[in-house]
Amino acid sequence: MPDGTARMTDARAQDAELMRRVSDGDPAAFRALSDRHLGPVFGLAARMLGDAGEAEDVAQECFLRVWRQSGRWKPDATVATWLYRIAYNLCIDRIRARRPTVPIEPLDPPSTDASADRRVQETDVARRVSQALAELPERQRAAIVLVHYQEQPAREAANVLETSVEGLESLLSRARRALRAALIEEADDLIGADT
Amino acid sequence: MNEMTEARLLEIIAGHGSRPDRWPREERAAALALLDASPAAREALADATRLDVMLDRHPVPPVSLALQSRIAAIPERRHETLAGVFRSFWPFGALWRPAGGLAAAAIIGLMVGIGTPQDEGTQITQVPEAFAAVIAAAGGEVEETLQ
Repeated sequence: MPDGTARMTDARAQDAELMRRVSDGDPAAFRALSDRHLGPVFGLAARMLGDAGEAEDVAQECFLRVWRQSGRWKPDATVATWLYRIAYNLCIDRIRARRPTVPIEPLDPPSTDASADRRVQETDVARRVSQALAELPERQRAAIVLVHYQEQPAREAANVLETSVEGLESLLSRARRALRAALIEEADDLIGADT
Repeated sequence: MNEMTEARLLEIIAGHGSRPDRWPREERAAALALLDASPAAREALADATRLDVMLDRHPVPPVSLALQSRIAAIPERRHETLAGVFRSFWPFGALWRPAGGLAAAAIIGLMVGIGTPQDEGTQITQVPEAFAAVIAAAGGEVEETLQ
């Protein structure tokens, strides 16, 4: 069985081939590419913006650009990095166009079979995390979203944010310190409730 | 590669969190080896774990079917957009109708032109008065110009 690195290399090669076909105007390749990357792009936008509707708009605009501007992708960046960079820039445009710090609504977590009390608690925790993320400066938020949630390797995340790996680590450290300050009391309650 | 230090291990945990599979690959083995020997690093790891547990409680909703459909339709939208641009310049319906009419008119005109004998008596021998006045004002002579 191929290891993680080999799988990643295969995925990148497949992405590159799909992009080549997309730039030739192949709708099937475009759909295959969007099937592979829509979820991560939407996830990035949803956590950056804290609003599922706006995140859908960003994801749609992102893939519209892929279809119209596929020739702009250069093989020195992975397709995922290129897509994340487009989505990140679209998110930043929206955040800066907002009126002064409109409170961000928490995203609705998927429904589960858990009890009502448990669901209320989970929704409350999700709301607190969403608020803490929203209070981070944009680049720190993006660093946490890319590395923690989207599980991007440090080098790829640094490329999205157009910084060095050291710069990314600095963003991550500051973001985690701020999140810890905002969330750690609830983390103690939560872990205590889980055990 | 530089030797792993406790300071660097603490930096890795502070930035990348509690899960070694998310630590920089080239430093992971050395960091894990040092972890056992560093109480400060183990404490930092426990602290980072608590934060990661909280962050993981922030799910996003799944991608809606409506969004999937809108994105799948983007290639068709492009063709629709091109058609819309064309219609804004040509609002007269299908192009083949006026094109067919124009082609028919051109063929008929060509046939009439070929079939009509040339009439030498239609050559211009007189100049309109206004044109003659302009030439005269410029110092020219109309009769010489024509002959």
